[in-house]
Amino acid sequence: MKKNIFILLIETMCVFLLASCSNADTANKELFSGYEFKKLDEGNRPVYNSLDELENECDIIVVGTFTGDARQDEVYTYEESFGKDVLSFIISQNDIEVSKIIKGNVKVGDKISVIQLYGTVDTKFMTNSNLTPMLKDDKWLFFLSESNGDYSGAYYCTGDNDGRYPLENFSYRKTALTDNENLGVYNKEDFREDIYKEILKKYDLK
Amino acid sequence: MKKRVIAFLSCIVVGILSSAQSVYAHNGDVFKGSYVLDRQKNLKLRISMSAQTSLMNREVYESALKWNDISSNVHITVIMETPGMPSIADTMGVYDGRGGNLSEPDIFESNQLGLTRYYDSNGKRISRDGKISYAEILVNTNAAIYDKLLNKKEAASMNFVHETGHVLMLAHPVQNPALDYHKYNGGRPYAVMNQGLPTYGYPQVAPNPTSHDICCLQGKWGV
Repeated sequence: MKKNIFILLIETMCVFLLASCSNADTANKELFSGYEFKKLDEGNRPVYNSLDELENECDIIVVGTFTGDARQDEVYTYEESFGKDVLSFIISQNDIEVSKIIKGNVKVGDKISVIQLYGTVDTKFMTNSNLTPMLKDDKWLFFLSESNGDYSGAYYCTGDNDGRYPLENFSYRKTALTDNENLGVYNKEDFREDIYKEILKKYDLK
Repeated sequence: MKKRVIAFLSCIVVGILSSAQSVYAHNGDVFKGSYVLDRQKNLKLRISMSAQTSLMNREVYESALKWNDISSNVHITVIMETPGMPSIADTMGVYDGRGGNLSEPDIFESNQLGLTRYYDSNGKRISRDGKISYAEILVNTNAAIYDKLLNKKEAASMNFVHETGHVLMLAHPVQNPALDYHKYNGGRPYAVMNQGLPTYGYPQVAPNPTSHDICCLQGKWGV
């Protein structure tokens, strides 16, 4: 009887161990799991019709890798209609290390700060950007414009989802926010396939 | 008996006509959200002083009135704020996205033409698919953005009509070349609700509401 109870206990422990290993594995694969995804605002933005237009508009074109985890700022502003401060913008910032330069006055190895409008509040993932989060070790081709004012010296992707493209054969980190991590957008139709085809013809990204 | 037959035939004709209209609007062209107290029936847009410039003037902001007389459940009034103007109940604010009385990041400067935000009755930001109490528009008043275009005034007006369309729960039209009338730039319809500005390079961007936009508005709020 005692032997049976002992075996049962061992079996139960094994089941729990396996289950916790599996959970840890899922957590690693599924960044942002448990977060409610919210595309907050709707709006209008400049749209670039070709690679030429995008090249002319941006300040630098580089291949770079995110070196750390994104930092987040929240901007609250007083809203008269509610008589209190309300959340106005969430800005995330991360650094890329440049490994290739196509345009601009930068050097290989330079670290450049990139900002993007998204962030987390409680269990909500809120974004104004169509681009997926800036994750450590992910490497992209960037078309960047320099920011002024509060974020002077930092850059943002020109035309949001017009300004960041995947490298061929690079495996991007999976998140729970989208199945399109290899395109870098939440919705497939926001990926600029037309410009990407021009990029692959014109640039050597290997 | 004759009357019944006529009524039946009329219903069929109306049905055919309405289905012909709805051919323009597709799933995803409108948001699911709605307003508390049917606020879209009497939507008052208060244009803050910060959003008024020599380019972004009354003429540009009153272009939002182009959404009137399309649906009996939608009516827009534009109020140009003046110094010392008292607050008016239930107005929705229009601000300069680059600053004014809001401290927005400079990413707005050249990466956004406009933004529309939605709030619940507690002042919490919510998505466009919720029960909305208040909406506000941020416009980019930087004239340089419109300078590149042949008709700056038309571009600025289109941009504001576009944002007001978002307040009225219209989405960017879905991109699908297989859909009727979606024949521009990879499957977009000709519509003011497309992103971008009306230039030669973007044949899908209309300066004014088109039949596609009108069908979407009527599909959302009724005729």
